[in-house]
Amino acid sequence: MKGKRDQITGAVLVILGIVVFLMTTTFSIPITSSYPGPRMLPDIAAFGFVICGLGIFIESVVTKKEGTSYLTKEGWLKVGAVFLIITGYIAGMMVAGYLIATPVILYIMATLFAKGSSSTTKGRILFSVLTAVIIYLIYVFAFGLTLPSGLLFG
Amino acid sequence: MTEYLPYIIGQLITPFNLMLMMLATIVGLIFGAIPGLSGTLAVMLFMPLTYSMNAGSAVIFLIALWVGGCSGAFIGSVLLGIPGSASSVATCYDGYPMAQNGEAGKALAIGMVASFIGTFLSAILGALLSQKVANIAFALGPWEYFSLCFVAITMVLAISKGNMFKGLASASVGLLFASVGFSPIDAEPRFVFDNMYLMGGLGMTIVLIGIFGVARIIEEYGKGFGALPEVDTKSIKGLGITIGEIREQFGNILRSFGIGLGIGFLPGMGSGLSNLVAYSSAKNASKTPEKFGKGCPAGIWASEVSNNAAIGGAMIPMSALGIPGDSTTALLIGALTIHGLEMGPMVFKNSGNVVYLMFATVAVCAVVILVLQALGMRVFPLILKVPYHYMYPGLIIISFVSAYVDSGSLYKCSMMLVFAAIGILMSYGGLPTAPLILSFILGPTLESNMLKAFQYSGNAAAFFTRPISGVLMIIGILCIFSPVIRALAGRLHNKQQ
Repeated sequence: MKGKRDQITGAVLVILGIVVFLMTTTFSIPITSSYPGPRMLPDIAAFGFVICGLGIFIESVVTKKEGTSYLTKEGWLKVGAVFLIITGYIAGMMVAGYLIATPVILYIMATLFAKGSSSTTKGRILFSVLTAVIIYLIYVFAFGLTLPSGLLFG
Repeated sequence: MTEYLPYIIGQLITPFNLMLMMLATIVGLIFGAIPGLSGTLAVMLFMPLTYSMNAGSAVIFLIALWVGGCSGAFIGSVLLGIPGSASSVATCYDGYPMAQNGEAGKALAIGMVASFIGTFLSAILGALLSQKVANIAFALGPWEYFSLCFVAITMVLAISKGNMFKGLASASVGLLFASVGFSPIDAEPRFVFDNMYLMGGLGMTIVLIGIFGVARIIEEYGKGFGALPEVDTKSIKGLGITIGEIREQFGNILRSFGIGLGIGFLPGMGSGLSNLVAYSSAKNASKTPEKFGKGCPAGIWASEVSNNAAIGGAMIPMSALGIPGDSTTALLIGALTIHGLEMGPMVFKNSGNVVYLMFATVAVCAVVILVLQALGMRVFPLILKVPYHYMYPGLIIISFVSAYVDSGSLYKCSMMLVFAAIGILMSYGGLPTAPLILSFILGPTLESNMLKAFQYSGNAAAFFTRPISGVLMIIGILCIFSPVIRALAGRLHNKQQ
C-alpha cells in the first residue's frame, strides 16, 4: 500500500511542479542570468516538485516497499465528517456569531470524538459551554480582541 | 547591556507580565508534556493573542510558551515512554525504564534539574554571545544571508527522517507558499488570482496552524484515539536526587550543554537533534555504557541538559542574524516582526532592550518552571489523562479563533481549513513538516537577499567566490547530497571490513 501511496505522491508532485512552472511563465518579468526576478523562487519550488516527485515515484517502483495503509475507509469517513463539521462551524460563526456557534460545534465534536469512551451528555454540555465562554472571556476581555458577532446579531 | 536592566526589570515585575509568564509557562508545560502537542504548537496557536500587546509583553508571553513546552517534554518521556516532542526522544531511553523500575520521581527530578541547568545557563551565555555575533554579522552581505537561509533549510533536510526526496518536496511546498502575494523588490503579483486576501501573502498563522495543528488533530481522530495511557504514579515520592549526584554528572552535564548550545546555534537545527547527539556522546564516554537504555540517570541528564541548552543556542542566530536555530525560533522571528522587531544585527541598535528581555525571560522562566515542576510533580500524571474528546475539540476551536483574530475575517478560517486538508495530504504522502516551516518562513528573506545580491553583483558566481558565502553554499549542497554521501561511505566501510 505504501508503495502505491508513494507512486501517487510522486505523480502528484510532478504534475504540481509542471503546473507551477507553467503559471510562472505568465509573469511579466522574465528570468535572466543577471537578474532572476520574481520567477526564481516559485521556479525553484517547481523544479523541486518535479525532481522529488520523480525520485519518490522511481524509488517506490524500484524498491517495491510494502507498508500499512494511511487510513482505513472508516478513517477517511471520520476525517470527512470533521471537515464538514468545521465548515458548518465557519458558516455558523458567520450567521449566528461565535457565542452561539461555538458551544454547539464543541458539543457535536466532543460527542463524535467520545464514541467508544465513557462520557456523559451532561459533562459534554458543561464542557462545551464552559470552554466557549472561557475562550471568549480570554480573547475579548483579557486581550481586547474581537470575535465574530454574526449577521443575525451584528 | 547593563543600560537595559531598568527596562528588563520593569517589564518582568509588571503584574500583567508576571501573570502572562506564569500562564504561558503552565500552558507550555502542558503542551510539551502531552505527546502529539508541543511548545511549537502552543506558540502557533496563541501567537494572535499577542497582537494587542506591547512588544515586551508579547516577548515574555511567547518565550514563556516556548521554554515551557521544551521543559515539559520530558514528562511524557518518563511517565509514558512516549516523548512529548522530538526534543525528548532520548529521554525515553532511560527515563521510562527508570519509571518502570519504581524510580519515576527520581527520573522526573533529573529532568527538572537538567532542564533548568540547560535553559538557565544557555540564556546567560546566549545574552553574552549574541551581541558579538551581531557585530560579525555587520560584515555580511545579501550573498551571506542567502547562503545562511539556504544552509538552514538544507540542514533540516539532512536530519529529517526518512526519504530525502520527501524532505526536499516539503521544503518546495514551503517555498511555493512563501511565493504567494506580491514579490519583493519587483512587486509582481504571484498566485493571487485577483483575490485581495492573497495579495499580502499567506499568513503564517493560517498556514502553520492549518497544516500542523488542525490537520494533526483530524488525522489523529481518523486513525482512532485509542485508550488513554496508563501512568504509574506510585513511584513519584520526593525529589530523590542529591547535590552529590549532580556533582557526579558534572562532566556529562558540561559536555551535553556544549553539544546543545552548539547544535542550537547551527541554523536549522535544534533540540530535536541535540538530545540524540548528547545521549550517544554520554553513552560513548561512559565507563558503563551497557547500563544505558536500562534506566541509567546519565542518559536523562545528557538528553535534558542538551535539549534545553539548544534554547539559548538557537536564540543567538535568531537575534543576531535573523536566522532561526529551529522551527520554533522561525515562528518567533515571524511573530516578532508583527511587533516591529526585525531580527538581525540592527536589532541590537534599534531594540536592544527587547532582545535582552528575551534572554532574561528565558532565564526567569527556567526558575519559574523549576519551582512549578517541583511543586506540581504529582499533578503531571493528570495532564496526561485529559480525555481526547475534550482536548481536541477545544484545540480546534482555538485554532479557528486564532485564524479569525489574525485577520479579522472568516475567509481566513476557510483558508485554514484548506491548509488542514493540505496537511492531511502531506501526511498521506509522508512529507515531513520541519522543512516546510523553515522554508516558508525563510522564503521571503532568502528571496529578497538573492535578488539584492544579483542587483549588486549581476551574476550567481559571487555566491561562491565570497569566502563565507562560498563555504556556506558548499555545506548546503553537501547537506542535500548527504544521503548519497552517507550511502557511499557506508558501502566503502563495508568493503573495507
